[in-house]
Amino acid sequence: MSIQQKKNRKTRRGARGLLTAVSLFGFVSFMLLFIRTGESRSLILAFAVPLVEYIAAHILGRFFGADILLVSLVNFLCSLGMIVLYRIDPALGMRQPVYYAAGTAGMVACIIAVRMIRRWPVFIVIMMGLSLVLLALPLAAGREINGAKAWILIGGISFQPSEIVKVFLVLCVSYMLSRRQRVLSIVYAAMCILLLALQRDMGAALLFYFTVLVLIYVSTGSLVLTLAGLAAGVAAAYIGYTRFPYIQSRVAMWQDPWQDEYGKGYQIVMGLIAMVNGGLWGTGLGSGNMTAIPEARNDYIFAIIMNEFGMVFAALVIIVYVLIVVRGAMIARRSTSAMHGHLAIGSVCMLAIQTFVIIGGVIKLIPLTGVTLPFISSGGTSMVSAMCLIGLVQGVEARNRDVLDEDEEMAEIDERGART
Amino acid sequence: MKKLRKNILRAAVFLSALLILLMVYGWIYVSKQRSRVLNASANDVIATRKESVRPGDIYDTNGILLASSDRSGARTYQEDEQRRRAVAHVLGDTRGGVKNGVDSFMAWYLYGFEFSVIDDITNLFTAGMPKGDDVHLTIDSSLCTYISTFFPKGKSGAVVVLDYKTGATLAEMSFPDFDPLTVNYSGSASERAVFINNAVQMLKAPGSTFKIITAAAALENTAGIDTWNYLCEGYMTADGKAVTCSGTNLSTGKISAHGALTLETAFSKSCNSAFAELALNMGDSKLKETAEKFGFNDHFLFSDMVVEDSVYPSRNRTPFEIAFTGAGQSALLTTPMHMCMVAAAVANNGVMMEPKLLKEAVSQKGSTRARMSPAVYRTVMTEQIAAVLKGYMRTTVQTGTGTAAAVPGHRICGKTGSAEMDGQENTDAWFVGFIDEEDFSYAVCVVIRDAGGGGTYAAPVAKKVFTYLTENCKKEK
Amino acid sequence: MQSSGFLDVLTSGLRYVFVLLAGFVAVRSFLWLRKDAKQYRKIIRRLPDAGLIGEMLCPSTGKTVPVPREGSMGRFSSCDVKLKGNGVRGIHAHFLFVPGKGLKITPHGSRQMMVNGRNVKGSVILGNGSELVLGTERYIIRFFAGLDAPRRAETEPFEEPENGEMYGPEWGEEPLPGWYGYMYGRGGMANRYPEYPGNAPAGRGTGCDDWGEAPADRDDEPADWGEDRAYDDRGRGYPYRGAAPVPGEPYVPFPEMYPPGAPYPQQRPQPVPRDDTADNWGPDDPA
Repeated sequence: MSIQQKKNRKTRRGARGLLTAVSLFGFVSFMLLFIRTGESRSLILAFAVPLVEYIAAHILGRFFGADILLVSLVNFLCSLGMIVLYRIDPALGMRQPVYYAAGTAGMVACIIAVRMIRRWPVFIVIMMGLSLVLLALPLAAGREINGAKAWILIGGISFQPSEIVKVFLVLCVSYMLSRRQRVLSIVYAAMCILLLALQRDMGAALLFYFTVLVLIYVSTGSLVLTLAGLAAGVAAAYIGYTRFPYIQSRVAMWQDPWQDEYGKGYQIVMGLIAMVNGGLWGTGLGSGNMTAIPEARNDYIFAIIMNEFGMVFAALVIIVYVLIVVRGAMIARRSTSAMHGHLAIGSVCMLAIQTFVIIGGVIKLIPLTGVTLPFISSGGTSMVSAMCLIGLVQGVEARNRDVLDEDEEMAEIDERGART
Repeated sequence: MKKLRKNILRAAVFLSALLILLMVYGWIYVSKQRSRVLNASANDVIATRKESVRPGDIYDTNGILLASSDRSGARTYQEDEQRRRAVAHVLGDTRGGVKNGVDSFMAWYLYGFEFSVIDDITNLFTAGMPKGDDVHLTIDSSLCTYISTFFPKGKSGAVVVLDYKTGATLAEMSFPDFDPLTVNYSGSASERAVFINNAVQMLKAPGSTFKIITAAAALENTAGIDTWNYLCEGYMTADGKAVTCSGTNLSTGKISAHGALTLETAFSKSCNSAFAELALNMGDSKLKETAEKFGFNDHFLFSDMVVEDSVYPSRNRTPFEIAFTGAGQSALLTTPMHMCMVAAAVANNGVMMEPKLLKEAVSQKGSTRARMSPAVYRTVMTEQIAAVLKGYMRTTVQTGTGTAAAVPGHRICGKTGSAEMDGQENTDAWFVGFIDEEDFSYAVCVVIRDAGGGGTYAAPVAKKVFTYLTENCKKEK
Repeated sequence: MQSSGFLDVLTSGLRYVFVLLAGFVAVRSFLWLRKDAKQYRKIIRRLPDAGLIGEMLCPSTGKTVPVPREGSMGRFSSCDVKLKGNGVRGIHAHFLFVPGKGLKITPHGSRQMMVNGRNVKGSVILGNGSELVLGTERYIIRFFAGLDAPRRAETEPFEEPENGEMYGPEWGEEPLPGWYGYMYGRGGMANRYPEYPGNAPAGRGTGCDDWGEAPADRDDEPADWGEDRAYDDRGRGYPYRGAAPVPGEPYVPFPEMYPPGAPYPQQRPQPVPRDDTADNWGPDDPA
């Protein structure tokens, strides 16, 4: 086998500590929940979840060329999500592993796609068309949830097309920017954002906008262009603020939620209370009494984490996201092709901005928007799209390794040739 | 590609910084807002906690026990009724009458939220309700008791005593006071008004004590202020309306003019016309700027207490209003605590310290959970201006309107104020001052509502406070 | 955070365990990142060719610059191919290696670029040995042998070649003089075998040994290339005909082709008859 493959085996062995820690975390938490509640489901999960994660990490690493570090970090976050969701509502907790499995399948598909596809233009065109169609669909035949008409119902499963379009957007914009077709990429991104704004899905619009902004800076390096884009975004936000009352109420609740403590500001106030009540080390898993916060399963799951696990643990969770960003950037810098570089940094950018927006909304750093915490929040499409983004990053890393493998093979031949 | 790599690195640094910003902001928010959020009405965590933990003891700065708890978790108080009444507003009560008293504001320590797992284990094996941490305040309850003996009966008001070097609060008293053991929770609205802590919650016009700020603004902004001369005619007109000095009554035709004045003599004689003129010359924006530097219009976020925000008016700024603001009236609103902080800033060379109440929080086993650390709120003026104002305030007590506050043998500085209030026959009597000595670094604010002139009614009260301080509260080196 | 009951004590104690585990995960991940970065740097150091597809040679100075798979070329130090010739602009062109086709070059903005004598405005795909004129400086592109690119470059649809022979000879044709052929070995590799000055390593696979045949098997050993073989002071071999450079004299690759003062040949010169006895092109029959 090639040198890289030999190295892979060594790194997989070195990863044991990390994977063990992650699995141990899952095991201990579910056992605690079992001791507290006595439900047999938690006992099953206590063994099943760590085991499945451990095996999955090894299989992915060996056969699909996944990056063990990213898989471990993602496993950590996913098991944290499963634990907290189970604690909030066991039914939710049982559904989350299913989403995790679906997400892993998506991740594998993305790894293979990035690794194998050489001719992108065909796929890019298809994805562009599909993304615009998918974004237009909720406007035509969508369901309204929480004021945003961003969901569609297919065969009993409701899903959010904007999550799927996230992946498409990153791919298309990366391709176009790497071929230096900036105007086209900006036009495409603007159309997506506009469709999202029409759907009132402000969170996703914000996400797309900032990711494209960062990608444009990465591609051009021109601060002028980036600042111009930022100014355009600020202007658009201001126009939105003055014209739409629901945005105004969100901003007012951000500035002082205490003036409407039991009304519109209730969610934010409860989030702050949860954060403060938890203190440094938390109230203990299962001991807090704050699970009744609205949307605790999606947007506000981080408030529960801060409440029951404490601020130190929450800070460590944020550090895990930072590590994902750092790893994605390392992978992007190693790539030999501009498109793959853009792809890797764009994917982690999307995840990082999503994390920032939702946690910032919960701790009242920025107004609250309706995005989910990647890997931790409940929700099938959210999990699948986050896993797909990580899959894209791992695909780039696998491709980097393939190229390095080729080079090393050549070098081996050289060496052999030179020795005689 | 090389450029691409560089840009990727920068983007990654930016994204990581964003996420780390979250951690930093969360940390800052919790440390600043914890007590307030714990006490929010939507938060029932303290109420739940009270069922399982009995509150710790509260001591004053000299170790005198002010409040304790019995086996069932109910609060018990000092036996001496006078002392009990004197500190009632600071301590607060357990049924939510007083907002943000120590009992609720420092619940984090008193109800054992800082218990570690070792404490939890120990508590598991001890009989009875575990006790929260004890809290030592900076309050000097003997001083408070003494003050309550001579504050004019039947009048409402407040007395605040601060250590201007560290910000420690020695006395925070509100009149009328109450006895937590006998107070009536279901009385009429006026009976329940006794729960209001006038020291930090009463917002009224400061009267001539605001001239400290006007003078500071003039010293900073007006050129040639050292040689400024003003001829006081007893009143001045702005915008057709008259700002009168005290003693002048235009309707009866009685004029009491101060004559030729410099800034120092105008200050010590508290000439309204002079300061109205200064305010008009400076302009509203400059005066507002200085006031905002002193803390007006700022949202106070102190760690140990909740002080109502002081207001510098921004609407309806006609020339008359501006002039009247210079003299300390118009729509200005401030608390006795804030004016005491202003005087403390003058004494402390322009550095305004944050008022502190917590000296130490100690667990039942004796380990220190928290200790007071003096914090600077702001530097509100330069040392030179502070020195000049100190001199003016000294003149006020020596020869000006504040002579009733003088204590022989000590350097007392002060400023009186008589705030006119609508609907009151008499003015509110204000006095802010300090002892300009290292051994007795204390600032005092006395407010007596509906009493009369500041120099006549508030200054003597302050004199008694100063006397007690110089006799009993010498600072250790 | 109740303070009574064994369960609550357990929960309270496990709080610290969770923080510990999370901290362990974070710290181990961070250490892993560092180790991975170090390993990667080691690999790259061992493979100086990693990510490269060839080099660009400046005939007038004899200097060469390695060419990665994609990037920009120009005078700026942030360019991937730094060229310092006369008239080379800051960012002069962008290039991208298209597997199976060649090196696609696009002039940046409105820069002037000539490929094999013709002015180009849009993208052009270059093959091995193509000549590029940026500004007033000539450069020659050389691929590594074994690179996934045909020896004859295909043209982009909008760049119609005149006789179809702009970029290289057809199969079976005589090569243009100055057709360098594929490159064997790199300075990095050859430098490690100074004891084989005449035996530059085979490079990336084997190249063509004859203009009419397919490349020989990859694992064939390179033979002794003979004394005529020219090599520069770094031990690299240039499989071209002509005299070896005299040490100390400036390096002129084809003195017979570019006598001083001669104009740049616009037409295709007569093919120079090939000397069949010279085994300069690589692997030979051991017999």
